[in-house]
Amino acid sequence: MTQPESGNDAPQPFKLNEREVADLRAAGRWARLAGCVGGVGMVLMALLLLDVGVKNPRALTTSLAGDSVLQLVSIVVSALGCLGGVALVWAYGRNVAAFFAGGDIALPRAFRRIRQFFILSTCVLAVTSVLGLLAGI
Amino acid sequence: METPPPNPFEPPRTTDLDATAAAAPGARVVSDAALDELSAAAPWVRRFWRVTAVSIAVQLFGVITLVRRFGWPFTRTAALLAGVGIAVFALFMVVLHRYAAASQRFSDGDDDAIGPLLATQALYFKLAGVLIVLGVVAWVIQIAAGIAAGRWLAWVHT
Repeated sequence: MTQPESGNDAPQPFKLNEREVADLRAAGRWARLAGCVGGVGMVLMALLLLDVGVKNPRALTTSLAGDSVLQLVSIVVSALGCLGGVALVWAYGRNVAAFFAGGDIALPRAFRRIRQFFILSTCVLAVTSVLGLLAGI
Repeated sequence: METPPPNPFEPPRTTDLDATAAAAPGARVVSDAALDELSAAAPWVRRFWRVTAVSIAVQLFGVITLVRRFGWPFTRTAALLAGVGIAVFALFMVVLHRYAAASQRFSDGDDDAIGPLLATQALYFKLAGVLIVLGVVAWVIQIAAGIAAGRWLAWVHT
């Protein structure tokens, strides 16, 4: 016997259980902390480089580049990667917090930021590894 | 036409008994867009894990080259710092491996994998947060010692 259509064939919404909600909340909290503290660390690093650069520009060039231009390029790529990574991790944490505050559209944004973080990290690590290998040879 | 006032003795309708996301304590509805983003990250997590493994090999190669070229007494500090860096990368690699496996399972359609995936995501950021805090605290202590000794930021003393 054919059952009448009851409308229950529609896909059920994907729900997180309490454990998963707690994990997502913890991920967002730690990401915000990592983003904030990482930002402070980068500001301190910039301040020190500025100080060395103002007092002795030659020492700044020597300490960064050493005896190889590849090392300088590697440091610049790493610094830009760290800056972007810190911003993406912080944005992920903010969006997770916004999701728990009631913004349902914030979660796709949070997961997009984490995907972009992995893409950026992969590219930066690949470039610095190749440069490190070339410098070593 | 005016609507009649609600009957306080009316029994609840069946639709009133349906659970909603807002009513369920602790449960959260995840949109399809969010699930798509999680799935789309899977290949990149795998690539990141592989690149991290290559990076560790390159760092080891660099350390060995440095020590062989200049000798252990002159490269001891640099080699030890590089060793700490390699250990940190290895730690992240272990977590990334778990993340990549859960992410791949979720991407393949296993909905139960979202639990391990979110747990590993939390572990990843916890590890990153703890290491960043430790690193920045060590960095601040070093800067403070440098400023106190007059090596850095001399304008602070003027």
